[in-house]
Amino acid sequence: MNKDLSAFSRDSLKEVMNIGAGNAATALSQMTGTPVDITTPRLELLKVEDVTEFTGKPDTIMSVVLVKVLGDAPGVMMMMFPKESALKIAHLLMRQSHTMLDEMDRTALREVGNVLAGCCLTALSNFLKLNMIQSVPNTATDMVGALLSNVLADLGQANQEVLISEVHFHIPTLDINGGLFFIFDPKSTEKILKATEQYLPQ
Amino acid sequence: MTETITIKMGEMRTAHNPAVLETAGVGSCLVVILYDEEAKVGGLAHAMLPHVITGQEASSRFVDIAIDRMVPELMALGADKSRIVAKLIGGAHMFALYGNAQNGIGAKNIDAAKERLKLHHIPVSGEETGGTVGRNVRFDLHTGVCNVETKM
Repeated sequence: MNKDLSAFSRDSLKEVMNIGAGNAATALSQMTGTPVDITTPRLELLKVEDVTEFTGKPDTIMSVVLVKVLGDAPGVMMMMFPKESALKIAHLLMRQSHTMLDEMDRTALREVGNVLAGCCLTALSNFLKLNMIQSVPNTATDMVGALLSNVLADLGQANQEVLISEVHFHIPTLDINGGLFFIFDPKSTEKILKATEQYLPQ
Repeated sequence: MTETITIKMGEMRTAHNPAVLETAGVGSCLVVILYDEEAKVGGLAHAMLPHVITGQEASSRFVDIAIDRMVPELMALGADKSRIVAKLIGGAHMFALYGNAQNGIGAKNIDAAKERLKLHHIPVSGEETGGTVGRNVRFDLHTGVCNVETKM
């Protein structure tokens, strides 16, 4: 695969990510009962070791819900929330509030991840006519660099470069921020591009 | 003033006192610190994977390559190989989706480092590895003290 994506490929991929993120945002909006804003996707083809810089300072504390994408185009989907936002989401769903994420909160977050990933991947899978299956979600709260390193090391075993995209979302009424990340290896990226060529109008 | 050198994931740096070597957000990655206390020369590598993979560029993102490259660099800076000791930090297990604590990438990184250090006859003088927690590392070449910070 070419090191640089053509402008057209980039736009196609952004459109695909937008479809996925749009569906996830709709689901999140229904779950929380308030509007959810999303940004246009940021998209970059990066060396594996440079990915942490894409997501910000490596020692920032984040709550991450991780879902592996299996099937025709394997990859990783991650929802990343600052700790305060993760607490707010969990408490909104659990209808209680405290200052630390407990086991029930983590379960709630995992469930949010599960629902959002499901919406997102179903939309992508329908649109691209690719088989995409999600793994069970995992959550962890720690320094983002440390969390990502585990994901990247796994991808780095077979690839030197990965495609990463981020859609930032914001719930204005609750002041909740978060990011929805997709990471695909070059092979999956190519498959997605091929599929978009077929289904996106040129 | 003491220079602070920040090492990113996949990088390796060596230096002579006075200097502080630091790196942030160490998860399943492994930080290998080699130090000669008498010469006050040391190096820090933040490696991601245990062994170099065929078809990929050999770089310090692999534990074995990082150690192999750091030893001669330290000797060029005045270190004596017989005095070099190692410290290992990291190799944690962040997500259950990536194997378990015994066979995950973190554990493999730790094993690879110990194996490689044995080959170079370098003893491990300190270790803060494993678990499920991210770490920040700061190593002062003047004192030889390594600070490990967790945020959880």
